[in-house]
Amino acid sequence: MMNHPALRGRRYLDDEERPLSTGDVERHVEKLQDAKNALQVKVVVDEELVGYATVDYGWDTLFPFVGLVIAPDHQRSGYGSEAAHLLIDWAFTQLPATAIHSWIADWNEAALRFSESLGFTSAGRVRRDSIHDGRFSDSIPVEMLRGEWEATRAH
Amino acid sequence: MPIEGTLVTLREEREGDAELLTALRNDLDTQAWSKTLPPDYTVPMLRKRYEAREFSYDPLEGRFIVEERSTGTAIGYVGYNGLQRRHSAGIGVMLSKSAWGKGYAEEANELLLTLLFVELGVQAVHLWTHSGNPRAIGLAEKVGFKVAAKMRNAIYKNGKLLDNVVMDQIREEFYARHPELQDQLGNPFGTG
Repeated sequence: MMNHPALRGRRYLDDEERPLSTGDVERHVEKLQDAKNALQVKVVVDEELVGYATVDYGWDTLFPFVGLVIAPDHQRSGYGSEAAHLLIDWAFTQLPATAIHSWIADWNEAALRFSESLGFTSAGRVRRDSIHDGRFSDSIPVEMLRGEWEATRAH
Repeated sequence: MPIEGTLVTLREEREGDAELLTALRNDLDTQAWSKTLPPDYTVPMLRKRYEAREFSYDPLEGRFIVEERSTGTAIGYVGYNGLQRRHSAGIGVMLSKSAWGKGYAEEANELLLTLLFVELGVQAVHLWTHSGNPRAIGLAEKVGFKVAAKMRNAIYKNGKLLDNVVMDQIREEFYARHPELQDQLGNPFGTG
């Protein structure tokens, strides 16, 4: 799953573009298991692994980072949307977060649309933040304030 | 050989700088981030951090002490971290308050940017500050940075909820400000 071509550049790894060996993935999972100040979870449907997610509050519990990856074969099934809502609710109910945020590559239009559908808004554009498909690409930080989350829950 | 400007010099950190770095770290005005609280850092802590640095041909951070040229006094720190080779880095600066308002931080930043763009060949330099620090934003704009993103309610400092302000400067912008320099590297991917 981690080496699926459609996930390249959007895995929320330090080493975004390089294909990973089994050992790479094992070391990565070990690191996640030891992670402090972060929720690291699998997304599972009928005991099948369909993705992974994080709420990382190592920087500040007021301002956690949220990341979600769904395996391409399992996208468009509603799993991402449900998982995202669980993560967002977790961040705002288990942490005193004033706002949550994520980072999305500018070429990842599906993720940008998905984040909008969840109620995130763009916070700007950071130029030449990564390399993808023969160019330096920008990153779009997206954010959701606690008040905005409360408003989405009211509906 | 240190990096020489007109007003300031950037040189490597030395053991004796621990006192200055401790004082800067314990001054809430020179510490942009609430993360550094409480202001109870000790000289041995900073000395240990200095001693922990190891030799490398390929460091991903650079740490410099800023010296006032006229007196040779160490007045602050400037550096970069998170270097992605030939791609990007983030920078930070802190100067003793007694050295503020003299153009020192501006020149120290410019010397560091020159190192990053001209020697290390990066495409973009980023810096993070917050909306409660207009001095830092003004200084960054003076040396060519633009506000790239503002994340609201991201920082709590001095009793206020503030925006996290991300600023960036790309290679073409640096060279446009320095017509005396020629960019032979450009963007290796081209403009497409």
